[in-house]
Amino acid sequence: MRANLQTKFSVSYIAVIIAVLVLMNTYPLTASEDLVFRSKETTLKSSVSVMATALTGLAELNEENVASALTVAEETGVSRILVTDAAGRILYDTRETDSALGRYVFYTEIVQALRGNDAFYVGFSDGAFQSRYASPVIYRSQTIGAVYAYEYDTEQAALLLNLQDTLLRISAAVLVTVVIVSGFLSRVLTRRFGLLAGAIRQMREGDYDQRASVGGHDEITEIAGEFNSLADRLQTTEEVRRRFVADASHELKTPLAGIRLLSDSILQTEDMDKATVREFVGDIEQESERLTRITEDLLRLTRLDSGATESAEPVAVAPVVQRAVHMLRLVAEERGVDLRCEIAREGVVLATEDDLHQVIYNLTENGIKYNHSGGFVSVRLSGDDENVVLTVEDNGIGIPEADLPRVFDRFYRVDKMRSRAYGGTGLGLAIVSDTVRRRGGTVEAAMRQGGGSVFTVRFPRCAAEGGETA
Amino acid sequence: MKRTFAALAALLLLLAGCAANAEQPSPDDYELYFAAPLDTSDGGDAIRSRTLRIEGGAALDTASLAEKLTAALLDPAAGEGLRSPFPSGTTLQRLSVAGGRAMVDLSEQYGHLSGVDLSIADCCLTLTLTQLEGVNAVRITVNGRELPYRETQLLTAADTLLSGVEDTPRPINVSLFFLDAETGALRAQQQTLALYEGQSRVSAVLAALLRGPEGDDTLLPLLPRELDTLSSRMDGSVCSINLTADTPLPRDENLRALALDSLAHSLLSLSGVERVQLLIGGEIAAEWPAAAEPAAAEPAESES
Repeated sequence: MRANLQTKFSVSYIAVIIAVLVLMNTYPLTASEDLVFRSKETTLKSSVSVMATALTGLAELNEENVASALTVAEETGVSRILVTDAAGRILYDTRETDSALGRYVFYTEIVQALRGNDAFYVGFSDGAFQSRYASPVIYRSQTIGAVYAYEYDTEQAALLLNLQDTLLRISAAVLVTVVIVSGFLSRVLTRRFGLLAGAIRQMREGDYDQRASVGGHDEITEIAGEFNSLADRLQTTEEVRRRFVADASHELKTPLAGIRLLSDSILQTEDMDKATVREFVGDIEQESERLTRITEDLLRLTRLDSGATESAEPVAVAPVVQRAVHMLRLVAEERGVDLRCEIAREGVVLATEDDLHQVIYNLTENGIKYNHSGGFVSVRLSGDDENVVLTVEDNGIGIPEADLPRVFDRFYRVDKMRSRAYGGTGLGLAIVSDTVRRRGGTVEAAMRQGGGSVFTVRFPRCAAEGGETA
Repeated sequence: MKRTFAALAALLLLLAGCAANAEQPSPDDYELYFAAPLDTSDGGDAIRSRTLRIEGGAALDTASLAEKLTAALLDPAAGEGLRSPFPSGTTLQRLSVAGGRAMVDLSEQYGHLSGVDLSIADCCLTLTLTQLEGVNAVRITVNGRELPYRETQLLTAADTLLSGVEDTPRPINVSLFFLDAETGALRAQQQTLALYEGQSRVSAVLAALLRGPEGDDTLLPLLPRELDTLSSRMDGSVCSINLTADTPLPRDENLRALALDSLAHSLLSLSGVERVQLLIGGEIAAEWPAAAEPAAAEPAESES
């Protein structure tokens, strides 16, 4: 992958630059050539025009009268001038040596001129501009001859060639620089991708400690940062999962060990008295029930984790509160705890009745379990325009401040012995926290002034048909 | 795949062979000269040629060959993209070759030509026939009579000016005088300079002197590279060079004299130059009469 991306990047970058360089080496030169061509045509036309004008008064052209009329020709700076008669025979030639006087000339420009038309040609080759212009000499609407001018210009050609040479040198330097820079940049770019890919690969193989160390301040750095954040979450999740599995194993093993111990005792003790057997079987039954509760809670948590929950619907909270409190009233009476329920403001939230029941039940049950005779548990439904607020307050044993942040962790117990004694699974508050969060709410635990705990659950208020509105 | 490659290779070889064969000139090939299309203005000539192969032509006598070529020229379809300069219906009445001259008598239609069209037709026929051995000139008549308005009745190939020949640089042989480092006197070096169209011989010699001697470490240039001429001209056999007033000539009197001598004697080596007049800032500084080369070592070998 690295080679392909590097090559693609380099090739595309270089291709774009080459296209620009080709344009740079062609258009300016072509445009300059065109400018020179037009300039040549204007200059030669002007020179030929002057000479043709000097000859127009002559009825017939011959060597003497043409030479006499064209004394201005010496000042034109043109390389060569020919004047012919109507048949194309040369009457005047400015060439210093090997003059062509008396010969017949058939340059296409001269022939065009002898047919009555101006003609121009310019070419650029062998380091020179070669320009030709011919114009007819007219006397009384008759073409009596032609004037031809030829210019061989190496100076402007040298300028153009210098320009071309300079452009080529600059282009070569730019191209070399571009090749080097593109190679370097593509390597840097793909190396960073490679680092990222390497970190992903190692994480895929189970090494969750891997982080991508990619410097810079661009999108790749951003991707690496996102990957590292994802890796952090994965690592945390993995640790939580491992801890959960370890805790779950331990929680399940404990009642199983108890059941096994009790059953072994019964089986291995001959002549055990009935009362002891009944006691042991009662303990086995309790451990079995505990195992069942743990299993049910674990299943519930698993369902919450997998997201396989019923879809939310508007639910009136007050009836659910009253139902849950009613179910726990007997338990509270047995323990001598005063269970109070107050509906200060009704509300409707998006959830299921089961979810709400579970939350209210677990919090209220905890308030009763971790309390003492004569204590109270208050369940209050209130809220504002935005939220429905459920507050469960007790004056029980409370939660130490150091444990507050962890009370919602799975299998976390402030007092293990007490929790087991009351048949707790260590998952009740975890279920509350997961359920509330899944329904878009929040739950907080705090110490109550004067002793005890306060749990506050907030759900976003839902404006539903038939329900309380904000 | 291998068979395909082999077949392609064989085809390429065959084509190359055919091309090679096609390019081989034959003694039976002759050039026919026609007129270029009317609207042509491409820096070339209004007369173009194409090759005609006359099988067994080398075995024919000159007159017969000339007749065949003339007949081919007069054939309207023979131009192959070029324009026949002869009026429609022109026929060859009579053709004879004697004393290096071809006498060509054409029919009446040829007499309808005039001006440059007549010149083009005359030259096409002349260039076509003068390529034959034994034909150096051509006389063209119409129904046995010369055309009175034709300036020249006997035409040769040399009477035609074609651009292909004229545009190439012409060589001129000159003697350039430099300082002999061993003897301290002037010594000539023969050089062949390329004279381009419009470039004067004087300017060519000046440029060569400024470039310095070629291939001889014992010769040294005398003229400074910054030498700048205001003008140079030929009046008859007198060559005048006008240098700028601040021309950086050598300060040493002897070297200054040698530098000016090298310039003058180099110019005197040009044919037609018998006197050299040197002006500095418009003031006459020196004159050289035509003289023999100064006594010095033998000139170096020609560098052409």
